[in-house]
Amino acid sequence: MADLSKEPFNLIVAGVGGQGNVLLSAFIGMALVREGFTASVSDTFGVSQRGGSVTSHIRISRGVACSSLVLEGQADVILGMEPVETLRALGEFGNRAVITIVNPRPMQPTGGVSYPDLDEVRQAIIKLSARTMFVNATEEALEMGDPIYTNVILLGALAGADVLPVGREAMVEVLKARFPGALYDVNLSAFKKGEELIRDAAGIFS
Amino acid sequence: MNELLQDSPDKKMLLLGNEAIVRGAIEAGVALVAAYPGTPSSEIADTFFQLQKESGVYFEYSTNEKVAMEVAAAAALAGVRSLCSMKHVGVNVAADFLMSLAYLGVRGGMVIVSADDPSMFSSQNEQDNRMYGKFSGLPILEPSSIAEAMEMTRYAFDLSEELQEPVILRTTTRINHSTGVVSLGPINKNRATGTFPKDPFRYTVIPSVAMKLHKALLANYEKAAALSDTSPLNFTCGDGVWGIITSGVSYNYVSDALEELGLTSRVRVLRIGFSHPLPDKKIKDFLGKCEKILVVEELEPYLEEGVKVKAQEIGSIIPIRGKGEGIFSRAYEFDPAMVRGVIASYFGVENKNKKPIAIEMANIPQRPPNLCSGCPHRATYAAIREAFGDEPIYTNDIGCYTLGVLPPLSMSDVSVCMGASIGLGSGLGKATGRKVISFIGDSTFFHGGIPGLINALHNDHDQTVVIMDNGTTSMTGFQPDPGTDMTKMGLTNASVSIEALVRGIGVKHVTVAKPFKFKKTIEQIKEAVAFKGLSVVISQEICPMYEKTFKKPEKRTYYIDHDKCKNHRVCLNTLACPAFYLDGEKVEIDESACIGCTLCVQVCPENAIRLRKIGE
Repeated sequence: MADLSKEPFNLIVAGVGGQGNVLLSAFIGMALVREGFTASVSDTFGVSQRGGSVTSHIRISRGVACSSLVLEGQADVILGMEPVETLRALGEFGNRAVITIVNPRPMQPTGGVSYPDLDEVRQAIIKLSARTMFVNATEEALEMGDPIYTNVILLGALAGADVLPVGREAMVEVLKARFPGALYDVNLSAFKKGEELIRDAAGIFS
Repeated sequence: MNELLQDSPDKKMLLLGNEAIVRGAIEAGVALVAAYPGTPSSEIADTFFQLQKESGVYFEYSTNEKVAMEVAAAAALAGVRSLCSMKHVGVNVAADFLMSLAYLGVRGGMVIVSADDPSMFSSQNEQDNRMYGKFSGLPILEPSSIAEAMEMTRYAFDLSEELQEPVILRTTTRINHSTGVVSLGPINKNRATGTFPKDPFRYTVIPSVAMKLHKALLANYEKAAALSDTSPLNFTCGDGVWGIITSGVSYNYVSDALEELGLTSRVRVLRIGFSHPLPDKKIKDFLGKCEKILVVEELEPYLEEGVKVKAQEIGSIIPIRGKGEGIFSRAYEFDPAMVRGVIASYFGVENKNKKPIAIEMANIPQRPPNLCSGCPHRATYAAIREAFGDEPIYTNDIGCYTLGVLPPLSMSDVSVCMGASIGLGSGLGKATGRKVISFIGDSTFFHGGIPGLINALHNDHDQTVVIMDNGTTSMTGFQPDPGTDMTKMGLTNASVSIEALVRGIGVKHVTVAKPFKFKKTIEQIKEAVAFKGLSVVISQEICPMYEKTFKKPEKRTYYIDHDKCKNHRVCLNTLACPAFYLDGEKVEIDESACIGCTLCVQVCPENAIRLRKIGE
């Protein structure tokens, strides 16, 4: 488990509405509170129920609470659920030291807007991050039978990356509290899948 | 038992701002809650709805905010602690009642939650409801954090009983929709039943009664002002001859900025949490210690003007700035970097600003909101556009369907507030002589559309009203409305039939359409529009996102057969369903997004959209 290297420690979760980002951020927040941290989670999103950009700001400290929004350029870790959204978050909250964990599967924008070249997006993410780890969370979730597991796979990846001051135990406890019976088992295996994936993602340093 | 109901004092929990408000009310012994959903307030109502069996707190989704406030106030008149929650513009709906309720007062504690929405994330305006404090004379509390949202809610009930009048808890989206750590307090057992001793010349606001009540309200104002002056919710911190006066979430941005700019020993801060009436003596003392003041508040210069009045009273001439060129705007939500920038420039210190990285990618696509794939509103709109194009004037209302304003549907020429589509349609028809089609959703129709419809009938307006009945309040998260079939939730509340209601008031031409029967719907709409006078089309199809919450959908998806597709793009260009995307020049269907509504199948001129057979 990583120490709280900085007060407050800033994590950004970036994705598209409907990907389960709000729940993912809530899981991270609950795990932090279990470990005795002062955590706040603030989601910024627009009018759309689904399909719009959603950014969750998670701020972690030992002491007093601070404002719930991360200042521009001050993310310590960016967890990107989608490549273009990751890049958007890097533009706003990135800096020379930021660690980026990204699910490389694109979500197509609607209304005939075209998606930029995926390889260019990947390269840009790598260039703007101190260290980038790609985690094929959606692919794995589809393999498990439902893209709904993407967020728990990413939660596992985040735990395995050892960048937060909270260990796997607290996260697993959160899943246990949230999901009853068989649902817990399948989510736990999604979580373990994420841990496995991050172990294999050596990390690309720029 | 739900964690929010556990009597475990000092336990630390991570709660959404709206959940913290619920917990505060439960700790205070609230016994009746009524609400109409509206972002960002909705989770307050939804949490009480989910907890209603376990909590022993009566909850109802009322037809609109005014009814909710009436129901809650009546309980408080009977000595039962009550709460009503609504979004900022909902207070406008309830304002007629609110303004005279302030005269009437209450016996049991009553809290009115007004959830404001700076930056209009999900609203038609960003009005600052602190003005309702001044307007009505009622006290206002304004939390800066999630923990405070809980504590202030709890305190608001005591304050309300002390003053015998309702208290307004004014939040903003950043409080309602953030989560933070709270430390739970003990739960006070609620008193579910009260008494109503008859006292007609106290509670019937005929002029002679109202004259006495207004005097009583003004006397109460003085009492509230004294409480505000001694309240720990109005506190100072820091030191120095520069001063900042702030409230709400801005206080956090100020704290972060002073820390980062190294100004904590040079700037003193007055944080206002009890913001109406303002603390007279505290502000005047603060002014006396400062050479220069910056007021940091989102939206209107409410504090700023109040502070300037106090300064005038003590003859202070120090600079006091808040809103204005080069300082803060009256528009939009603040953010930490912006607040830091203004503080640095106002006090003339260096702003060590970390600039965001310039992204070298030219086109990061935006993701504008859109109706969901398989949304029946899209089908209704597409049918009407197919029938009439841009010929009629389209008046629209508040709900998911307002997104029909976006091209290519372009089905909203004007939309203002809940229920306005019908009255707007009547007036525009009369003034222009053009045919008007007015769109309104089921929940909005019950909320505020019925008077407009009766007016259109009574005054013989030549207008077609399309009631887009998807069986729920989708935009705010599927809250039931009076037309919702409650048996799906295991409840037995009466379900009000829109069709019976419309026929019952005497509308002559009423049609029920099923929008995914596309051609038939077009015919029905044409007939309704051809009818001279008021016609109503009820376009009925359950919201598929709502249906998914209680029934596993049958997986049925479609794909584009590129042997048949001639790339007319009728599907993409007329429907813009989010399941379509462009792969180079080819239109494709994202089968994980498609829910098989078949609308595109019915518009494709080449029959190129095919059902994916199982195992294909």
